[in-house]
Amino acid sequence: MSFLGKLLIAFQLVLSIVFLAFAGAVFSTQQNWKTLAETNEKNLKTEQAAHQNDLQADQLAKANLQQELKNELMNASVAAGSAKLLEDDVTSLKKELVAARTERDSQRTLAQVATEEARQRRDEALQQRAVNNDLHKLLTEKNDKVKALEDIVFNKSVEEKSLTDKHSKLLQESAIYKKILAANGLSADPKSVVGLQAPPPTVQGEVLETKRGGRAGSDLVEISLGLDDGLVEGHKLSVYRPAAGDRAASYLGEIRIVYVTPDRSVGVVVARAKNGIIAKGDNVTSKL
Amino acid sequence: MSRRSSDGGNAPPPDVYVGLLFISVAALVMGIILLILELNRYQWTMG
Repeated sequence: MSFLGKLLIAFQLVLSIVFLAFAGAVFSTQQNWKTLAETNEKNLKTEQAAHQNDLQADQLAKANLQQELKNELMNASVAAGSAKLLEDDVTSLKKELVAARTERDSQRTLAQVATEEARQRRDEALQQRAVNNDLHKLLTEKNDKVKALEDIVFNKSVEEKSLTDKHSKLLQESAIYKKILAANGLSADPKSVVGLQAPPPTVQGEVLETKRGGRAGSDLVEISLGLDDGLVEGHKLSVYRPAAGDRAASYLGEIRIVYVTPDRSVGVVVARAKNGIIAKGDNVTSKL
Repeated sequence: MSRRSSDGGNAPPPDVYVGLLFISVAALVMGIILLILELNRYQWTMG
């Protein structure tokens, strides 16, 4: 055998052993890829079915979500409209608030003024109440006085009634007395007898004027005394001239009052002293 | 070889190289069997 045959046999042996090793390695280490692929394909189909279901569920959910989105958009548009309306309302309410605040301030000012006025009125009322109390007291006093005066009036009326009765009785008696006087030829004039019955009061006056009467007349003398001094017609007064210097006082005569006024009287000379001439400035008196 | 057998009819005694050839054939047969078993797993489909 040649060297080349030996070399080829050795090479063939080596390749056969390598082939055997390779086939053994493939057999021992190779897995069943087909089974794995089928398993994977089955899993893939399962996963695809699940994915399809999920996809349908997702599409359904998407449709629902789209519907909800539409609804929400509609709600959003409605809410936007409502928001605009609310903004308008807020704007108007702000304006109303400003107006209300202004009104409140004005009302507060008015309330302060009214409070001040009420305080002043209260003070005035207190003052008026005090005045009213005083007036009540005064009214009570006046009522008491009125009652007292009514009592007096009642008493006076009773007294008046008794006096009226007495007056009537006296008139009747006076009529009777006048008839008696007329029957006896006497005058019923009180003036004609009053001077005789009552003496003149103690007075002193002055001759104001004299007037000489005619041949048959009497001398008249006006004096400064009258009814206010207690003189009445019929009273007799003495006329004298007071002392002056070396001249002594002298009696001039007597007069009888024939006419009386409140502050003047006229008398007629009823007695004349010797050489006594009554003149203006002489004195008259009721008692020497 | 054919010429040598035709020469005398006396077959030379097998030497070590013949043993190596047997070993080589056995290895090839064993490898082919393993590959056949492997193809049986795939039902002889290649695609």
